[in-house]
Amino acid sequence: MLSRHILMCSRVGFTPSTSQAVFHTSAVNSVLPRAKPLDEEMPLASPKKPRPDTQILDLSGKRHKKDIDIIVGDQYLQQWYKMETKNLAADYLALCKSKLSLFVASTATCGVLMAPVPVAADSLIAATVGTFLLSSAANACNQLLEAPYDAQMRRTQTRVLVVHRFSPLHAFTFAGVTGLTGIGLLAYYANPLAAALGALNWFIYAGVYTPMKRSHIGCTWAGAVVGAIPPLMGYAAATGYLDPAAWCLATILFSWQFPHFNGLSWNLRGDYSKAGYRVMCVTNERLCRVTSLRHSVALLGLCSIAAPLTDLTTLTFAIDSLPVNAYLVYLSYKFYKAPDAKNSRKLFFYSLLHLPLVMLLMGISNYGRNEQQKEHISDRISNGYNKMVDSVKSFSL
Amino acid sequence: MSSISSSSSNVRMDRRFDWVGPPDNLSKIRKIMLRRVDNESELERQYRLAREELNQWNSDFWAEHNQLFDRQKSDFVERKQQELGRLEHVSANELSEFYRDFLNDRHVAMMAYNKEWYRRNLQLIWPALKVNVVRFFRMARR
Repeated sequence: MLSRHILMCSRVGFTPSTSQAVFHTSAVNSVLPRAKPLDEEMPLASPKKPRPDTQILDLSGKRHKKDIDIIVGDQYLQQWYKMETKNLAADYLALCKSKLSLFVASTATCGVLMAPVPVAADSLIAATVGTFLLSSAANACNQLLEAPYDAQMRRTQTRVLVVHRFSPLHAFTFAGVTGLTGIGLLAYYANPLAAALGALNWFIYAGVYTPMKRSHIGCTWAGAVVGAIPPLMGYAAATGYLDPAAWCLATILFSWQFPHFNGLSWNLRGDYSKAGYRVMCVTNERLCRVTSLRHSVALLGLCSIAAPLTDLTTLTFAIDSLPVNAYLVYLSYKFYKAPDAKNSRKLFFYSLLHLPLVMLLMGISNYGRNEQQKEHISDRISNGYNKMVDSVKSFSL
Repeated sequence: MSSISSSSSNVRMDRRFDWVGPPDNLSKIRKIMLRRVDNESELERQYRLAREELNQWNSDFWAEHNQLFDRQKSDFVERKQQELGRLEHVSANELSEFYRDFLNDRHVAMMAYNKEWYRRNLQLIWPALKVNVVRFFRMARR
């Protein structure tokens, strides 16, 4: 009887609450459309029993009896393997999260190209390579500190330090060498400001963001700052200073992180909760959805208003970034209204396309080096019209 | 393929190498066994034991934590399912209430574990360095 009553109420849109709390969020949750949980989130009806495996003794080569001393007491002998790397280069790339580091390095390259100075080869290369190396160092430190947590999550359980491809000391040395090389490269071929920013970023990622993931919801903001600094590094490498245009660029990247990360983490809430990460999507869902929307709208304002205003780009960028950002706002709004697996995945994958597109458009409409576009738009129209009239006149003569 | 099957046998493994085992069912942490030589110095022995023990301690913590999570989650799902009756299924939104409450309940324990893990992991780097130096010189002497 009661269940039918509850059923009718939930169809109407609210669940009768029996809690004593004055403010509670159960009403808000039942206003959202009911999303189906992922298959892996639902506990299995009956846990599968492990079958006793056959085991094969590993006898290779001639060995003295005293070499054999470690005793393994389990059935899964063939699943034990030696702690060694089959392919050191591939494992290093995995340790430094090479695809992510390349992405970060590309944002630094964008920073160099947006600087209002002629592009110098050494600052370009130093910024790109230096940022890649520093990002690798930061990621290696992160994996070093998070190995047991990574083991708990499906997404990260094959990371090199989880499967013990090499020892923690090895990873620590790798981080030290790449980080110091990156800083040195930036200091020597670019300038000390870029190197200092790089070192700061390394520290924030490994020393602030990584521990904060476990303790406070503000970790996403710290992570967004980490994402915003590489373009500043590129800009500083090219020019040696940071002006409002650079800060506008950094803020664009800062705001982008939110729809990106929230879209990614929504589907992994179960894993994140089990592994103890206090990210927004687990601890405060409403904030998660709202920040994605808020920052997507902020991106619209940043690209279309702040960018031309701070002389980062010309007006062309303000106009041609509108559809790109508008679609992001649309997807964020859909995610806000109906948060489920499909909408979050769409948001995440589009954010991966959105940033390179925006950086490309920005590069094309660069203000600092673009003499022609510095003319006011009405002058450009009248000049274009005059040129057209002249060419028609010369043709008809 | 010839095979020897037994339910609880102890198999000896070559101790000249470092071994990594399969992930534990509960804790998902892999067991490790580090290599040793006959004339292992006290420093090396302590380092090896400390690292193996740290790994085991991690495994124990996560086994307990994961068991708690699974048990509380199935209790929660059962309770919700009873409330909802047979026509509706537990939605993702309701599960997320559980995720949030679970995290908040475990916050203190997780923070203590985290601090301890950082401390012990970083503490082992210096002994690891010393052991590697000792091993390098031993190899160079041969």
